[in-house]
Amino acid sequence: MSRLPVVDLPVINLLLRCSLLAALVVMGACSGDARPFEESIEVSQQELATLSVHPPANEVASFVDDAGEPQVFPLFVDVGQQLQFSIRGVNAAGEQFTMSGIDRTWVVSNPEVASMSANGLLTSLSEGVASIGVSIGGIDSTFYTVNVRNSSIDTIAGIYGDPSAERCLAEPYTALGLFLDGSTRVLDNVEWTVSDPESAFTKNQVANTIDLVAIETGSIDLIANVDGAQSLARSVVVNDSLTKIEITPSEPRVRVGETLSTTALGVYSINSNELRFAITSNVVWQMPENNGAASVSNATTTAGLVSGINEGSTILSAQCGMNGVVAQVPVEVVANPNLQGLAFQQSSPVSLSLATGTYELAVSTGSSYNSTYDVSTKTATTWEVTSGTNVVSINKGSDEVTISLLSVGDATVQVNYGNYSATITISVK
Amino acid sequence: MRWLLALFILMGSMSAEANRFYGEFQFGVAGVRHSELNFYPSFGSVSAGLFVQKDIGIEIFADAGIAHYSTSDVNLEVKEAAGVALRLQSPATRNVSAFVLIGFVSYLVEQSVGDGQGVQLVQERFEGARVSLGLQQRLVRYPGLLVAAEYRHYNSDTQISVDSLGLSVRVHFK
Repeated sequence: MSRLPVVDLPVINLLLRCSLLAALVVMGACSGDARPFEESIEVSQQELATLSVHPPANEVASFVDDAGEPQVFPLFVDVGQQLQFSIRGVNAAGEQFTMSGIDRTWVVSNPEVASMSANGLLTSLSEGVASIGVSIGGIDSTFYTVNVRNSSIDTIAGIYGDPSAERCLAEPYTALGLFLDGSTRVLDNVEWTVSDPESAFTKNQVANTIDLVAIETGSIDLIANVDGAQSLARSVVVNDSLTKIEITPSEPRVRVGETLSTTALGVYSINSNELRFAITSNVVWQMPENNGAASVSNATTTAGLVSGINEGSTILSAQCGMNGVVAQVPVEVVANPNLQGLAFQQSSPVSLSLATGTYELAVSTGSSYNSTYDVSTKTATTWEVTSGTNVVSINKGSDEVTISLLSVGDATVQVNYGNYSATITISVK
Repeated sequence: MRWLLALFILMGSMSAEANRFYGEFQFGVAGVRHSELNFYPSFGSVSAGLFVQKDIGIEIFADAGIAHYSTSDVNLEVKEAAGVALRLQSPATRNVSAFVLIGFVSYLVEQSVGDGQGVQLVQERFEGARVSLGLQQRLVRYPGLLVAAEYRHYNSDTQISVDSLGLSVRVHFK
């Protein structure tokens, strides 16, 4: 008979003590960087040739000059400001792509002026100049110069963006400020207004960029106000290029109690080209008042969302401008089988012991119970004991409906909701 | 290789101490995984140790890479390793015993990535813990010799950890 090796308890105790001691000795002694191995493979797989680092685009003061050439101002930031840098790579074929900035070897030429996290977040520490770069798998990027200098705005230098706009198509604009230290910086905290709110509106102000949506053709002034003191207007010509609006789907069909998203595409004739752009959130959505069948939303995030109210039909329109382009489609609101009839959660009859005391009942619209369409506690739902009132009583609360078991016998409970009713038999034993 | 030479000399010098000193040679295949690539380089390892108590020993060890492993134009090798460890082993039953080693290791990993137009070489030294588990069998015909199978793990708390399986021969000096 063979025996397995046996280790006695004192030895185990000793081994555990020694292991613990050794573990304590080696803990905290870890070092080494695996990142160069990963980056080396990343460089090879992406055939990376060159690297560049970039601050957020909306922090860089730039504009297109009269010759159509983009002009970029040096980047100035205040002390304490943070900028999230990103990395762009170019492969051997000359294709440009964005690379992750996470856990990289970022380089700051002047650590007293700015610090850089491993994930590319720059924090300016003191006034001065710092150059920012990154190294990936042995490839060094070009450097980006950041000037750290506290200053205040002197005047608004300009509002930059497309000098012309198309109707109901959002165009981004940015304001640049001339600061007391002579620098030109992108302005945030700008309050934007338009000269004629009937003809245009602004939306989606993100950091220092605003979207202008012109509704009427002609000319509109976009005005930037900073600190309530500085103000500058920029004239934008609104072209009459919108030829048609297309609503999708072309024949919306929605169930009662449900919603359907519709979208608007603007068809533009620009330089003899027919171009289509999504303008769902820039048009005015309408339905005939008191149509009773459906309604439509104009809220920014739900623009074009049709809600079915009652069976019937109506017209959905999307309009750009008071006397502008309008599209109309018929909307049909059809019956919702989930809303027809009433069904109890429980099968009838329900047999209960008198000792149970109370019992919850639930009912939904539809041919079978569906918690999504539960109407048990709705105001329009009424409950009654049609027979056996000495057997059970109904308690309708705000979040549940229960019956109280009063005595042995049979009872019938009826529930009514709209044009529908249903009954259930309760047998108490 | 200098580690190997030094250890052989050390082992030779220790042979005068009866039954307390031991030396070991191991051949192993390591497993390293990073960047969704698996590498299996091979290595040789020598150890020299001293039992300070029954079944408790302290040893130094050194590894040298034997062959790198290539995949997807990437070559990786555990170039060298060295460290100290505490050996804890169970009493032998029918000449078989289990052992655990725990200690400190410093290991050098080399990776080259080449696509034919140039090779990018990365070398990095890692330091961390070594943990080994194994079984050893004392040979009846040669009581001073043991053969062992061992799972070894080098952990530096980075993506580059090394797991290996090895076979070894151990000599207890008389």
